[in-house]
Amino acid sequence: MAVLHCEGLNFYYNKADEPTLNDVSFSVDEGEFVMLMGASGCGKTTLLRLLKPEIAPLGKLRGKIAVFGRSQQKHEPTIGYVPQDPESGSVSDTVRGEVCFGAENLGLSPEQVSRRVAETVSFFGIGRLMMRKLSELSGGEKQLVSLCSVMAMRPEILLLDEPLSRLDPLAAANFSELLRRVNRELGTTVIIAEHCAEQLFADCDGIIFMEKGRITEKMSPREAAKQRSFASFMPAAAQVFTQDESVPLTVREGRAALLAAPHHDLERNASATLGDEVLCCSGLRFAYDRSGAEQVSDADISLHRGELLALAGANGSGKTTLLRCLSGELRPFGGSIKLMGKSLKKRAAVLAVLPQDAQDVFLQPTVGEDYRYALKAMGRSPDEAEKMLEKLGIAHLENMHPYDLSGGELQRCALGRVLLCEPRVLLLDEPTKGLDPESEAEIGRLLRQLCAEGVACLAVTHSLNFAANYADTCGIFCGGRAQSVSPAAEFFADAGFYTTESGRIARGISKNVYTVEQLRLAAGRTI
Amino acid sequence: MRTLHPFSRLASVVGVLMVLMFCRSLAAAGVGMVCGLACIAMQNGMRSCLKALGLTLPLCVLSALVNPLVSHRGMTVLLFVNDRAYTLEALLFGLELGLSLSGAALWFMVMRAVLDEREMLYLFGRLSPKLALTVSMTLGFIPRLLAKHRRILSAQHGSGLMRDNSISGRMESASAVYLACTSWAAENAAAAAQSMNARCYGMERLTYSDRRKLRKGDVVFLCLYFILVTAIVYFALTGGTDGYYPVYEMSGTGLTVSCTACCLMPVIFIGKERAAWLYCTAKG
Repeated sequence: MAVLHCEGLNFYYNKADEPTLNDVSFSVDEGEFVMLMGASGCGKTTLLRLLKPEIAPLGKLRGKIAVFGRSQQKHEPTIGYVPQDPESGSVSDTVRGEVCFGAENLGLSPEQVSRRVAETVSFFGIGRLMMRKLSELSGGEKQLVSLCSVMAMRPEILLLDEPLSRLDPLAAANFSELLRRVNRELGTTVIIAEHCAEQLFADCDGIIFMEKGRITEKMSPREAAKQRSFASFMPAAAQVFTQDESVPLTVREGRAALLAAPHHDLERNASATLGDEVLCCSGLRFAYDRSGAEQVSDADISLHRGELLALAGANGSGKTTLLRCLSGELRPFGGSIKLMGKSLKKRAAVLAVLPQDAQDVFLQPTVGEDYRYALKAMGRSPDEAEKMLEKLGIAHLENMHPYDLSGGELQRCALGRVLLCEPRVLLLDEPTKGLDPESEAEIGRLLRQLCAEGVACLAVTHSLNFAANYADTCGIFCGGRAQSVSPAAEFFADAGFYTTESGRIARGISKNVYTVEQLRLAAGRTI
Repeated sequence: MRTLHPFSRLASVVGVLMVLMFCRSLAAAGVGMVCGLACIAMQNGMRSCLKALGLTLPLCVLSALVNPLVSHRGMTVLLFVNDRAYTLEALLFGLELGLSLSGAALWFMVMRAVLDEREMLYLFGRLSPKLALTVSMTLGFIPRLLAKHRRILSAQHGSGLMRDNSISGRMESASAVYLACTSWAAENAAAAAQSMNARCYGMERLTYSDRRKLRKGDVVFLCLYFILVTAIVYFALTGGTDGYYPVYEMSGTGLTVSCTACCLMPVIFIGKERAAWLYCTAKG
C-alpha cells in the first residue's frame, strides 16, 4: 500500500519564473527505504518540505499529495522531518528538552510523554547524553538527538534532509546503521535526501534521482547504478563496473568484481616537488581547560609553498583547534610556530583562514558588496572585487545574499572573499563539508589552481575522497597530533581501512589504487 | 539544591531577591552578596565566582563613591568636594545600594544555576505556556548568539579584516559584525520556528512531562522560608531597617538575623550536597 503518493507536482517559489519542482510524480509503499539523490539546489529539500505540510515553503503548488490514501491534511503528525542542520532548528539548549519537545506537543498526558521519551532514549542509546547541553555535543551526536526528538513522536513516515553530509565517515556509518534499524525493526517508512551514496545506497528499496526539479522514476539500487548521467553520485564500485550485468554496489561486491576482472597493479604516483617551508610547528600543545585533555598534543606540521596538505580525522579530534593555533587565534602553552621563518605570536597578514561555517565570512547583504567592503577596509581598490569574482567563476552570484547560496556556491564565494587579502598561506576548515561530489570537485580544482600560484594550503577534512583526489600530502589527525603525514600516494597505498571506498575495494588486490580513476585503470575499464 | 522541588528552589531565590530589593539594611545586603558568591562558587566553580566578583565589586565601590557626590545629606562630613559636603551617610547609602544591586544580579545567576530551562518551563508554563517557552528559548539563544559573534569576529580576523586600530575603524567593524549577527539571528529564528512547526507546535496544548511531587523536605523548607520572610516583613514594617539620614542607624538584630538566615539557607543546602558528593564515596 502506498503511504505517500505525489502526482504532477509543480512548485514555484514566490516571484520565481522557473519552477523548482517540475511534474514530480512518485509513490512510496509502507515500510520502504527510499533515497532521493541529486546535486545541491536540485529541489530535494523543497520536495521533502512539501511532503511535511507544517513546514511547506511559500509559493504556488499544483498537483496532488496523498498520505495514507487520503489528501494531505494541514497537520500530519505521522510524518517526521529531520532537518539538514540540527543546530539551527533546536528549541532547547539541553538534550532532554530537545527530545521531549515533539512528544509534548501531541496533547498526550505527562505519563505518556515520559514513556515515549524513555522508549526512544533506550532504543537509540542516548541515555548518557540526556543531561548534557546541545552545544557540548559532537556533530554526530547532535544529528542523533535531532532524530530522537522526531522519533519520540512515533512517526509512520520519516523524512531526512541530508543527515550524513556534515558527519565524519564513522559518525555517518553509525547514523546510517540507526536508520536501517528504524526501518527494519520499527517498520517506519524512510525517505532520505542525500548525495553521499557510500553508506545507504545498497540498502535502499528505491532510488529516485533528481535534476533541476525533475525526477526519474523510482528504481532499485542496481537499476539506478546503471544511470550514467548520475555516475558521480554512485558508490565507487558501481562507477567502475557499470557495464557488468549485476552492478556491484558495496565494497565486498566491488572486490569480487575486481578479482573477477583482469586486474593489475599501478605505478605509484610520483611525489609532488614542494617549495620552501612556509609554515611549521613543532611540539605544539594546547588545551582549553587546565585540568582537561589536550586537544593538540605535541603536534608537528610542516607546510611548503605550493603544497596542499590534507589532514583527515574524526569529529572532535582537535583539527579545528589546531588550525586556530596555527592561525594565531589561540595561544598554545607549548611548542613553537614559525611562519616564513619567523616566530608566530599573533595573526599575520600573509595567513588567511576559511572557517568551517563559510557564512561567518560575510558581513554585507550581497556577495559583491561584501567583497567591495572588505577591499575598502583593507585600503585597496573596490574594483578588484570583479577580478576575483571572475577568477573564481562566481560573477553571476555577485548580487546574491550569502544565505541564499547553495553549499558549493557559498564555499566558493567565501574562498574568494578570503583570497582578497592575498594570503601566502591558507588554512581551510572542512572546505567540502556538506557538499555534493560536483561541488567538492570544484573546490578541489580551485585549491589546485591556488597551489599552482604558490599558495600553501592546509585543509582539515572528513572527506577522504577529497584528500585522495587533490592533496599533495595527507595525514590523520588523531590523539592531538598529525600522524602518518606523507605524500598522498604513499599515505593511501599504506592505508588499511581508513581510506577511500576505492582503496578498500583494491586493498590486497591491486597496489597503489585509491581513487575511482585508478580503480578503473586497475580493472582495465574505460569510461 | 537538586534534592528540592523546583518550586522550593525558586521560592528560596525569590525570597533572597525580595530581601535584597526591599529591605534597606547594609548588613542584609552584604550577607546577601557574600551568600550569592558562595552559591556561585559551589555551583559553577571558583573561576566563575571570581569573575562575578570582578564584575560586581567595582559596581559597589563606584556606587558608594559616587552617591555622596550627588547626595549631600547626612551629618558626618568626611570632606568637601566643590564646597559641597561629602558625607559618611551618603557613602553608606551608596554602598548599600551597590550591594543590593550586585547581590540581586548574583542571585539571578544562582537561579540560572539551580533551575534549568526545563524546570522553568514547568514552573511558568502553566501560567503562560507561550511566554514560558519564549523566555526559555531566549535564555538558550543568548549564549549561541555570543558564540556566533565570536566566530564571525574570528572569521573576519582570519580573512584580513579588523586590522584597523583607529576608533572609527573599530566602530565600523563592530557595527558590521553586529549587523551580520542580526542577520544570523533572524535566520536562526526562522529555522527554529520551522523546526517547531515540524514538531507539531501549536497543534495541541503543551504537556510538561518533567513533573515532580512536593516531598516532606520541600514542605518543611517552604514553611521555614515562609516564617523567615514573614519575620523580615514584620521587622521591616515595624521600623527595623537601617536609617541613613541624618545619622546612620543600624537596623535591629531581629531583621539582620532573619535576613542572614534567609540568605544562608540556600548556601547550606548547596554546601550539604557538595559535602555529600565529596565524602559519600563508595567503600569497597
